[in-house]
Amino acid sequence: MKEDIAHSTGGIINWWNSRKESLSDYIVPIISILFGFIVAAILMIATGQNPLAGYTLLFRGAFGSSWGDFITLKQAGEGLVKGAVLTLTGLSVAVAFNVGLFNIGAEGQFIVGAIVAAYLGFKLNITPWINIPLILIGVAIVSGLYAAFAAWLKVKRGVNEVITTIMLNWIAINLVENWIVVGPFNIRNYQPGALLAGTPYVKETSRLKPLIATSRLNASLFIAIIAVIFVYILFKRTVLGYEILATGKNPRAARYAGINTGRTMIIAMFIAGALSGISGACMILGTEGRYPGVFRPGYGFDGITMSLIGGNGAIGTFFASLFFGFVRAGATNMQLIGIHKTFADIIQGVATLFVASQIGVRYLILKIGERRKVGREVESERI
Amino acid sequence: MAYAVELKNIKKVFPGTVANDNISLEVEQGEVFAIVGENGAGKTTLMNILYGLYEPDAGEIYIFGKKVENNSPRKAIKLGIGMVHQHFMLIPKFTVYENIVLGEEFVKNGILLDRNKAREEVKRVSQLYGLEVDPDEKVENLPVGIQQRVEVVKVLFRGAEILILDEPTAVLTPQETKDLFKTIRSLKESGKTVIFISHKLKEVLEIADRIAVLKNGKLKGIENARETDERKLARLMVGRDVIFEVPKREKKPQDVILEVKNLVIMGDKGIPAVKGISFYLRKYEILGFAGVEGNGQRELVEALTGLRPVKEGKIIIKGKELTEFDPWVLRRQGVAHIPEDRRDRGLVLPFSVSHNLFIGRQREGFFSGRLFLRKDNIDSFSKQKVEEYDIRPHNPELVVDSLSGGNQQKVVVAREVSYEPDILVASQPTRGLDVGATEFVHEKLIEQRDAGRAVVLISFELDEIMRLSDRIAVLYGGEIVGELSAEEVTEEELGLLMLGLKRYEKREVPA
Repeated sequence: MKEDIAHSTGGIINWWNSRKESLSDYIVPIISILFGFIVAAILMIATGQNPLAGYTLLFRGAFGSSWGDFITLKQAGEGLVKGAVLTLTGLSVAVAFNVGLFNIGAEGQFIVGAIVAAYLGFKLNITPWINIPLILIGVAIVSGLYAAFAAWLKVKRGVNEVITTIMLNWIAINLVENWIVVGPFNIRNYQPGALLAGTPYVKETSRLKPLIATSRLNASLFIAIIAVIFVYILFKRTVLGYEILATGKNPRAARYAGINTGRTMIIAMFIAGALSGISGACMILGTEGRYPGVFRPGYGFDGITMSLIGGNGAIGTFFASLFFGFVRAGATNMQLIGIHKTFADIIQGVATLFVASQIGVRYLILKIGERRKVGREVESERI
Repeated sequence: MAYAVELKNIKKVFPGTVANDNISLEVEQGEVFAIVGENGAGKTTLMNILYGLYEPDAGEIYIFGKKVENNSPRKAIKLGIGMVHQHFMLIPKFTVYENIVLGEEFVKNGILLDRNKAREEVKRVSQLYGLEVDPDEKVENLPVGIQQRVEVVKVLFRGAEILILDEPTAVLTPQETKDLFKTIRSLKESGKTVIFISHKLKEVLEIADRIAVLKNGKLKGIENARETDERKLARLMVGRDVIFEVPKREKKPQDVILEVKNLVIMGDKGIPAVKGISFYLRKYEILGFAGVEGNGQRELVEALTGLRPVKEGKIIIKGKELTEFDPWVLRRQGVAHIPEDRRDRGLVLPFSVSHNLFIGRQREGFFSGRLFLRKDNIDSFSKQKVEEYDIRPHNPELVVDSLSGGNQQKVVVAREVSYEPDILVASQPTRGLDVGATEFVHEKLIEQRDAGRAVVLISFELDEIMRLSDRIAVLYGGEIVGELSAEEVTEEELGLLMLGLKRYEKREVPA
């Protein structure tokens, strides 16, 4: 409504209005993250710690203590790897969100992807250039189907996807961690008397190896970047992306216009599942090397946060994920002065809270920037 | 004698728009004064200022010669102003008298409701003005026309001398409108002043003594009803000549393209909403469905466009019986659809105009390759449509939500017509549109008919049905109670059919 009037009166107000809107798109997450740091700082003070010292250590932990460290990715590599894994689950949630589904199941899809990667990585042994793409394709298909099942239930039976994806999370966790990993695919089946829990190591040809000797950075970053470009192009340029967006923004209009909304939802959810699965695969093929006995890093759930903070877009999700990848990598360093690394979770949690209540934050921003009283009456007049 | 209402230089500015620009007018006591104008012309704002809902930025209000300071609805009511809103403010579960006395209850013994007194007072007021209402009936059981009457009684009960009626006929059948006009005349006889807001010129000419025309917040003139006509008012309202009679080429209907046989469609509540109707539709003709809202129109439209499954019966398009009922199936069969609610179904509001112009056709070779959208084609297509349909502002990249209702509807019409359908189902295509936009949509529908397409028109506006249709079917209670040719029909007859007071035997559909 506001814009409508603006158009009729001319460009300047219109320009300002659109500018204001898009500015607040970036401002809300940034302010929310700042709030996260402030709240965490208050909690550090409350527990008798020095937040300034803590944050200095966090920064050094994330980027290294000197320029040289930064160049050699000595520490920064850790943040980038974490960021890459977060990016993939974040994109997963974002794609589902854009078709109008809330994918709480990223965690389950991540775990399914991880175990499939561990298995294929163990079984396949060709050259890395063939091995790894094959594994990723297999992972994408299995995790994609796992997620698409929830969408299928929604389309055919009207079951709420929030409930089914949560249930599928538990099915995945129990099936994988309480059966496959301790049972049929346990390391002891292959190396009797092994002292490790979990599955056997994947073949060397399946590993995403460190790119630089000094750092743990591996090719998952490139996989994540490819995924970002894929999702970006999907929504900007492709027919499917157009159909996904139409279905997500107004399913009634999409169906009326002749878009097969059910099929579109299932396909979008398949893509979402594939992305989460690849995230799990990156974790296994890169950092872990196998499916460990205890593995529940929660990257799937973190994906929800990344998508939310990133405004459900590809680029936004990527930056949010990199940022929190660094925060998490750096947070370990805070333990040097006795600040627990879970303070990173507090920062992330508070930021999420604020973004989730962004209608409120947005309102505050607009309120502050506004001198005139914009009457709600305008709306009632025009109806 | 002082004027009942005197407005002096009323000005009201909303950010970015001047809703009322220096408006001065006087309403004499005991007259019926109409205010007409297109949507957004400032009629409602002006009345809300008079009723105390808004404070004017400048100007003065006098009621019966007394200057009103710090106006508020409470104060306005005290001064004798009553407002009947377009959407009724009644509680459906309450009886008529409970609704009327609400807020002004009679109390006995300090705390108890005096129901008998309330009932009697309501009876007394309604008899005084000849407005028959049964005080004990529940409002939800009353037809719309009577509910409106209850609103009027409620206002009179509060001692109103000046009644503001905001678009009162929008929801009424012709018969109900006649009753309302009778009421207005009797109110006038008993010395009340009536301010009548409308955009229907015919009605205003019939009932009003004087007519004020607003356009873009400015008063364009006040005309004596006896000395003016529709054309003159329309010119003031729109700023140019408006053609009322849509020029229609001679009827030349050809082969039957759509046949519907004994169609039964379930409503949302699981009971049949359409109970075995049959009709046919030929090329080069418009079949209008008249009827009061809620008599199966929505279900019929949804079935014809694949949005709602058919329970029994057949839909035959171009000789082929439909077996699947899905929007994409129907669209492939050449059925396009202008939906009754453009914001709910017709448009993806956060999308740009451009992206809304081809939704549903995105898989066609012109708009996309196997994977990617063809941006150049989309841009040229939308630019051309925006020009051709004069969708304002002329910028296809704007978010469609930011357009006015008329321009949003133009986007929908442009898209549906661009399908080049065999059958165009138009459901209330001009709902909420102003005169200019309505005229445009009507022209387009006629154009489609003349181009050899078959048009199904569903509307609650009798004028629209009569003006456009070649044949008119009347829906009542989910059945077709009459099917008439547009030349032989009268408004009275349609009204009787719509109210279920008359029905014709079923006509056989030619095979």
